Amino acid sequence: MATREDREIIEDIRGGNVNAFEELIARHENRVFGIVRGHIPADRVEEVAHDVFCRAYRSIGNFRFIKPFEHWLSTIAVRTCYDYWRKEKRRKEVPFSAFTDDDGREVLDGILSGVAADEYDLTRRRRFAREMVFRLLDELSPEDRMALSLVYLEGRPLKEAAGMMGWSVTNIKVRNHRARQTLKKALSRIGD
Amino acid sequence: MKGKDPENIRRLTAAIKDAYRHPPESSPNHNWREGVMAEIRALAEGGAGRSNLFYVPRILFRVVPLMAAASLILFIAAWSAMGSFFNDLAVSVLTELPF
Repeated sequence: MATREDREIIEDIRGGNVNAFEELIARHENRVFGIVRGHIPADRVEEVAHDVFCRAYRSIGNFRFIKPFEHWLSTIAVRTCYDYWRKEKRRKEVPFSAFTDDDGREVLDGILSGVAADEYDLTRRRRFAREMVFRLLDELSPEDRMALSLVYLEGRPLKEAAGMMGWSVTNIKVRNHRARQTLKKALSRIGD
Repeated sequence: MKGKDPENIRRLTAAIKDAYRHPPESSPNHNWREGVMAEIRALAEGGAGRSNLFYVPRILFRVVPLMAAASLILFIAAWSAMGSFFNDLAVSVLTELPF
């Protein structure tokens, strides 16, 4: 059986066949999980991805087929992550000594030594760095956090990131710059 | 002071960028999709997700209130002008009466 285009599935859903939405989930869940995993702590990823698809279903009547469905869905995913951080409480400055125990210090020393890591160490370094970046991002406002994540950490073009958030390019540029300054200051505290 | 060295900041930045771009792989629980579909079906019973035949572009939500406000201002101005016109007319008719 030939695979259906997204357009056909969407028209089927709009016609009242709610079960066809499962086909869209199956087709796009990897993309949505990929985006959500990047922004949200691992233990909340499923919950946020769930919200993304429910939001997409609620708005599917307004989807205009002007751009590909996956772009539209990616925008919903990014904005759902943003809403997640708006609801979460922003933390004050986090002391790094709090998570640089003996094991953490060893990984930190490995990163700072600049010596290339083997696969095992690379996994440990990434896990450590991910925890570190989430703690650093917790110090930012949800807006600055999204700007830094999309532009600086993920490397998306300013125009694309601005479009995803529904902000102006100037707005995201200013927020990204400000967040980078805060990040730099926070990184300089590490190891103190 | 480990983090204060610019070279250390550069290495830490590279490490967090790398970690951010390589989140740990994980796949949803086998019943995750069923959970989503259960909520979608509940939403469908409430009428969400159908073809939006009465779709209204968002711009109209801004333009219509502005037009309504402008119409109201015009109406008040016209009413006020009309009031003073009839008032003047009444005064002139009364003062020009022969008795």
